[in-house]
Amino acid sequence: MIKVSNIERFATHDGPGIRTTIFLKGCPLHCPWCANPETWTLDTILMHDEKKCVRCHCCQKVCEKMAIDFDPDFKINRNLCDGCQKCMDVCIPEAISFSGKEMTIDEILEEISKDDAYYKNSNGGITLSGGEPLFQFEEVFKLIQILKEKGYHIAIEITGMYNLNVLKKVEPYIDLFLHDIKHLNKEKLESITGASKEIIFNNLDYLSKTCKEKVIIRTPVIPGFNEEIVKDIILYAKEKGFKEVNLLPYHSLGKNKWHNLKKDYVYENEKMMDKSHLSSYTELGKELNICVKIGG
Amino acid sequence: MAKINIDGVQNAEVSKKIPCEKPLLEQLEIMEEYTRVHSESSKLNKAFREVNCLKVLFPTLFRTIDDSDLIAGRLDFLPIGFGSVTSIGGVGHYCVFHKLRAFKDQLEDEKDKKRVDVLYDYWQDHDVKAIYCQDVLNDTTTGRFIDCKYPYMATARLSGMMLDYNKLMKYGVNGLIDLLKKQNPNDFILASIEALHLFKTVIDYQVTLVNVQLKKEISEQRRNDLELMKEDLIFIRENKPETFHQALQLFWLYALCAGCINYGRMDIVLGPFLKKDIDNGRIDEQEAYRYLKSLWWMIENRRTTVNGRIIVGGQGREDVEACDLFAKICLRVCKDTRYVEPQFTLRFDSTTDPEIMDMAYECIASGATYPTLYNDDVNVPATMYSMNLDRITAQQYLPFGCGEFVIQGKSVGTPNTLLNLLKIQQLALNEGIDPMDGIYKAGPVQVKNIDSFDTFESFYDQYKELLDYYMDLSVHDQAYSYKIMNQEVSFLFCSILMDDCISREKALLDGGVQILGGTNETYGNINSSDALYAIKTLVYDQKKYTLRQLNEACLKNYKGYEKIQKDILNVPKYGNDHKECDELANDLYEYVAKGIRDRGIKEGMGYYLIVISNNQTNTDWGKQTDASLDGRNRTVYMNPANNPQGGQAKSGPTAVLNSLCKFDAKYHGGSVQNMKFTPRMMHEDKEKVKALFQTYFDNGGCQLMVTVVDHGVLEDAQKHPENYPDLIVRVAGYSAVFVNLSPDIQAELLSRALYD
Repeated sequence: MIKVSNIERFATHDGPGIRTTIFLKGCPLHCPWCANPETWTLDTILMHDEKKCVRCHCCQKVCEKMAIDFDPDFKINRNLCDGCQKCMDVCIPEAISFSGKEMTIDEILEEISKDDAYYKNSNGGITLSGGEPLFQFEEVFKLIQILKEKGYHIAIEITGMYNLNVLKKVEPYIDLFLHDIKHLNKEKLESITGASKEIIFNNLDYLSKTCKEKVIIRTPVIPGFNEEIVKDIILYAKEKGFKEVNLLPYHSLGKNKWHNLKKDYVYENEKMMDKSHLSSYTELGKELNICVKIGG
Repeated sequence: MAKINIDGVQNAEVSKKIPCEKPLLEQLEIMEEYTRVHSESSKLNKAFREVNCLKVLFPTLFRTIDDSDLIAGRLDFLPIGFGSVTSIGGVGHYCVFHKLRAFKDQLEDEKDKKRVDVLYDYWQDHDVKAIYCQDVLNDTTTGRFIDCKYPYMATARLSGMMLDYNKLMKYGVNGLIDLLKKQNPNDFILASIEALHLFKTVIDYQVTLVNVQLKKEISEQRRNDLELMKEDLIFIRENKPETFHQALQLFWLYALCAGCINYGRMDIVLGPFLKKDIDNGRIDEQEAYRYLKSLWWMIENRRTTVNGRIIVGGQGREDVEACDLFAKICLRVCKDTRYVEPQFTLRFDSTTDPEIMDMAYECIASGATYPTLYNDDVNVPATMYSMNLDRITAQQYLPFGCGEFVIQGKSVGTPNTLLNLLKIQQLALNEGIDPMDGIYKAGPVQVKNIDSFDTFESFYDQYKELLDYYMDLSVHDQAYSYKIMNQEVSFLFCSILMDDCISREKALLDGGVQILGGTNETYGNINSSDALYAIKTLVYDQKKYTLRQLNEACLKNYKGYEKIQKDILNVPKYGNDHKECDELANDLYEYVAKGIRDRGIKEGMGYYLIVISNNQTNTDWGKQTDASLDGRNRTVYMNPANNPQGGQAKSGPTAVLNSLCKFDAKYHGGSVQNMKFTPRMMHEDKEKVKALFQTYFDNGGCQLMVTVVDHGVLEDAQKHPENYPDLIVRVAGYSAVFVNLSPDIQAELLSRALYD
């Protein structure tokens, strides 16, 4: 079984052509700008939308584990919640939802296959995203092997935060790596995201040596975090021979998810970043002879 | 005295009509004269009465030539007159009663108002549609179009006449007269000849109108344009057209006189003239562009709302090169003008010139919403089956109005009957009573008590029995509409250019037309099938509720039964590529589509087919339809065409398109699909969107209409989400239906859009 957060059909921004993106649960990082914070844990996780909630307490009454409380706002004790979803079932205004469901590989394949004709006509395929898609390595690797066997183009959107042996196993099956680089400075990277610079960059070295033409570097450009070092990331990518860099301007579209998870969002008052803010880097890319795109 | 109230809105009028340019009293005099002639001609054969009446209207009602017009021909119409369709004027000898009342209200003198009353009284007994309605409408099952209290509406109209304009070009006016003179001189033939002489008078009158313009102070360019107009009018009066401009002029004036508001395959008619003129240097493409732009404007000015079809491309064209040349100029005009009409339509197949497909894409992406795309690889074989035609004839299929098919110059296919499948389903749940008004509407059908449906099949059978009853009514009423129209009028101008009226020496509905078909507009198709699937799932598969429990919740509009509504809404819905749900939708579709088609065959009609079209009737009828078991609340709009109910397509455009492809096109006579994309997606993801469309068409998609909306529209969508059920926007790492997003995400998207 694989823990899936969401399957998005007609995904057009995570690799070439028309794609289906499978958002997988589990991530070793905890980036404070994350647009999919519900994927951090493998658990089936309750999300509660304060704006939809009418405080009828139906969820509280039905919860056998006493995981829900109001004081007066909705509170969830995640240690008690077993993900039975009875609360969601009784919530008329649909304030409660759950992220994460277990799917068999066959179930995933069935969903994917619905758009086979679209992949074929657009040179598209499947993108594994997350979370960190290799977090559930064992099962996901089986899925990847079957996808390859069936002839799908496979892209994988990864953090780089896993054992090198994992990467070595997976690499031959992957057609496109969309590889995050969030920062080059060890302290900044590790203190803010929880990543290990050593692991990520060792993995990048490996990709550079074995299949650099299959790698696109993706950098979310976050105000106050890595804006100053975008140029350095491009230079790094150039040095390693990667084919492209995508700069993803900061957006706040994941904000609601943070609220619904009852987590504090660091960038509460941060404005969305204008694409034009980064346009000079496409020029830099031309000078350096490396493709730099703004957006995915 | 009228038994049935025939005074009310008779069609959807979205765009505002341009008022008649004549003073009110002159309008009144014309209507009085029309009425007098109609009354005095009552002893004559209907064909002569028609031509006598037409002489009252033509050429008098032609209006001044507009300063921008490059061809002549603008026609007013009044609340009383002669026509084919309800969009302009009415049907046959008509009176549009509510418009006549509005006309009366504009008059100041009481004496004049009384003059109107006299007319009103006369036409209550003589308006063709009223005559039909008296016989067909009743208080329970059958309503007037548009009176949405009923599960079924019937009307008399002659919509979607697309004439054989090639014949007009081939023979010219005199040639047609000669052709008629060779026939046995019966009343129809003689009246037709008179009608063509009247047409010549119309041409003469246009020359007079051009002369008025020429006396004005005008630019040299305008003078040249008017001189050409005059010269060509004089030419086509006596001769077959030789140039593109002459052909365009002749076609246009004839369409006006015939009361036709859908024009058809103009590339076939006009393309060869265009090519010849360009080849011999008479005009260049820019000049042709000017003429067509003028035509576009004149069609726009007719304001026929859901009509004005100009169709290019596709199979069955002899001179493809000439046709494509015409099509490309039309695409340029369409992109530049962006009017609601003409409804510019592109037929295509796998052999269509890629440049045309690219131009069409660019036109759509620019936000023109046109061309509407029709896939000949699907529609030609489908039409062969549905209408039982050979390939050559089926290649001349055309969508008119909201998407009903006819064969150009050969068939009548007017949609004179309309069914609300959802209202009929509610009769099955409530022992024949419509919960909206408590009135029994099941006719002789013995509807069982809700508790007696032990299996899903037993309920479905009951529903089918009611559908059968209504389908029986509709086929009878469709055929009867032809009988009544034929009793009153000959539709002379239409008949002259429709096979085989001249050679059979018979008027259109008198046995003249080669294929006397018809269509039945079905509504609430998807609400009904989604409701069936919810019933099947919750009552019979899961046994979570009884059918009575579900229905009780429904009867209370789900107030106090929100949990049941939530459970219903959580059952899979059509449009999400869900196998079982889509299969049931298809099962219902086939039951109704085949039911109508088979009844048409049995009735001896050329064809009688359902159309799943798109206009505002789904909303209007929804307003008078009780809550339904697909989770829809009382008075809420019903699903558009065969698209999912608003807000229910939750799996992206590929899933919607896959669901749409499940309905086999060979059982219907036209079905339309709407999608809306943002300009950003159309431009930045152009190749992906193209692949999306291509795959849909490869999979058997018959038709596609694409709306591209900018961010002003998104603001409107926030205020009126019901109007935007499938507006696709990109959010962050995913795309979403805009109205399904929370308001603050919508606001975020709006703010980002300013920089996009």
